[in-house]
Amino acid sequence: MGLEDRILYSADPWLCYYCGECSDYCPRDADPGSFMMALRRLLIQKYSIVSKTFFNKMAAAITWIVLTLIAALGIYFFREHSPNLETVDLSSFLSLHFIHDAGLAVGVIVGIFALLNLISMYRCIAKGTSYSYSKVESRSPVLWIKNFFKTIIYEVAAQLKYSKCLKKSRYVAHLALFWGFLGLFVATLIVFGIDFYELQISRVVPFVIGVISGVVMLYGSIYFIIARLKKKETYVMYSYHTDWVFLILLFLAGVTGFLLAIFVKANLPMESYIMYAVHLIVVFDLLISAPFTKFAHAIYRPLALWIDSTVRESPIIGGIMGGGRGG
Amino acid sequence: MVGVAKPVLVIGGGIAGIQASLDLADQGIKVYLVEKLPSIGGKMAYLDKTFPTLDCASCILTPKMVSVARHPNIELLTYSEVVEVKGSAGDFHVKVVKKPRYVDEDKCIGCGECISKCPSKVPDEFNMGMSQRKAIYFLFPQAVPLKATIDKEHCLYFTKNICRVCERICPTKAINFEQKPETLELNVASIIIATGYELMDPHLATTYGYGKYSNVYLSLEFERLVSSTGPTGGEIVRRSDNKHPRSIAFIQCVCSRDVKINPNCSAFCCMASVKHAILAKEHLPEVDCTIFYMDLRAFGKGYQEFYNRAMKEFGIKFIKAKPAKIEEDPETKDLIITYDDTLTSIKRTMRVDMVVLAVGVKPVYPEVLPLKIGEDGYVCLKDPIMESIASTIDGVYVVGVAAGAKDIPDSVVQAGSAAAKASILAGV
Repeated sequence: MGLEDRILYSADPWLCYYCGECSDYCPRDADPGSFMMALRRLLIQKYSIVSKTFFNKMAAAITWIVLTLIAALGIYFFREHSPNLETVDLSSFLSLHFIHDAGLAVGVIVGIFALLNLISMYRCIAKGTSYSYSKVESRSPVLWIKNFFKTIIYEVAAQLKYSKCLKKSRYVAHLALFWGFLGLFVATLIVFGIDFYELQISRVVPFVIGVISGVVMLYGSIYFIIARLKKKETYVMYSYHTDWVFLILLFLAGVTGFLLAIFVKANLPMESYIMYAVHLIVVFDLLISAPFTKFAHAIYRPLALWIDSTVRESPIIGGIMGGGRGG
Repeated sequence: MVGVAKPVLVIGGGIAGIQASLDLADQGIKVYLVEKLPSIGGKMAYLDKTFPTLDCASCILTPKMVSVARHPNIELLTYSEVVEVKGSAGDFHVKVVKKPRYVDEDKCIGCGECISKCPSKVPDEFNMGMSQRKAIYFLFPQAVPLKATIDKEHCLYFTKNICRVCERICPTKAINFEQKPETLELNVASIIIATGYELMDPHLATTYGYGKYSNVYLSLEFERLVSSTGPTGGEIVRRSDNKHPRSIAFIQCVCSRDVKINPNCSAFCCMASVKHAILAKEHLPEVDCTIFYMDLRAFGKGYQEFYNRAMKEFGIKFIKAKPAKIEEDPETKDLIITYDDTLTSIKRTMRVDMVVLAVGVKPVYPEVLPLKIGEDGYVCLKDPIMESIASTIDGVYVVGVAAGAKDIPDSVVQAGSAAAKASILAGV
């Protein structure tokens, strides 16, 4: 309809959590919920050209294979040549320095791309709000900062808007995915700290955090995998391949992590090293692709909510909505 | 040829059944008119005014009801149901069960003495439960026949074996607690089905809060509210505080044109709601009326003019939107409607004192006949264009809403048409 700009310049698609109630109630079977989901898929690709490779089935398959090969070959070339086969010692398989450097490299790349994507998104939405009465730039910095913390606490940490969806178990599962992933990330950081920066914390702390977070994340990913297989509720009626890849990667990261822990505890050197390699490959795939895949909603949605809450908090009703509507 | 004609059975005593019966009887054909309620009149009897002329509905209907009762060729079987149909076109054998009124129809003179003394009060179905009637009752004041009926479910004698005050008070000794169901066997040439409709269950529209919020009304409830024979004597007041509303919203297509509940258009609601809004303005000139519509279907003769009049003469607002939800302000009991204005694509809310839901219709048809029912729930027709009143059974005609949603003028036209077809089989 020639209104692509209106969609591109709008934060609205990110305010929708796809509870599916609109599609359930629609008297004409118009399915607005999956339309919003499709918009988000489109927007991820619009914000970043790289994303396109993950949303076309063929290109995605090739990209995933290439990424997996890079990780596998990396491990293959940088592995230590005489791993300890008597007792498990992961550093005898891959040196701590390799893990440190590779991890840092991935982190920096992901961080830069995430930032670039967020800037791209911000510029789009700022253009959109110039249609309306209230411009993004016209809000006071104090309000921006206040709303930043509000968004982080209420919408990122607690995901209160999501909790308004009728199905509460789904909210809990999503929260489990989020906190589980974050917990594992924090546990990894602590181990890094202990190994390289002489952090004075017992290794039991990251282990406990890791186990709990792993269980929580596995619960979340299994919940959504089952829901998507059953297709009983509206929001899982149509699963796109990007939905599946994201879920399966999360699930695999959890499972391989657990198996690794079990093998290490059981002192099975060869099994441990193989599982270690598989786990690292999965985690590499998951992280390196994060700014471009469905995972990216974790950065886009908070930004949209932040901008929206700030622009909307004004005497002029409409705000961002006025510019964004019309799709 | 008069005199040799075979009788015709008409099932349903609403406006369509009444018209078909009169048109047949006037040709000298004997008609059995079967009605399951204690009085004929059907849904039209509920109405205050009719669109598009704003004529008084009972002023049109009541004389026809009386004509039916007095017509020598019509045998009126009220409070009766058809339980069996055998045979074929030209020779149907029909069993009708007459339910006991516990009042001798020949003796009852309709004085209403028994009603004034009856101690048992029951929600009045004719006023959509908004007032009370007694356990012995007339369906409504202009009921035909004007014979009292005892509601066995609520009568103190039948439930607790006490009272019998009606029996003592009746001047003609018409009360008969011993009355039994009576089965009649009829032989008819043709059958006309005019069983009409019921309203869809408004609770299916879960976001509109009917039954939960006191100031949300059904269109038929509103119809009774504006009627001078209604529960408030024609005063439009809110259920919650008995005050006049300052604003009323009418919502169209509730449980209609909704693929999740009932995909059919109910045909008359658009015009009925325009009429309701005009009536509200006539009763309360200061009231703000808004009609929320999906498409406003003003298809009949004079309907577009009626719609224009509502906008220009009465200042009624029309908003193209299907509201998402209604919420109640717990203190004032006002209603807050959330909607997305389709023409501007802007999400808005509106606060009103009263909401009237134009609830869709669900056809009713006799189960005893092997009728073919369409996917839409209405009785199937032989041909929707050339045989639009013929059911798939030879000699059985179907008119009014049972055949498809329609308004009063169309139902009356179909009734006359079916009477003509049936008279051929009756052999005048």
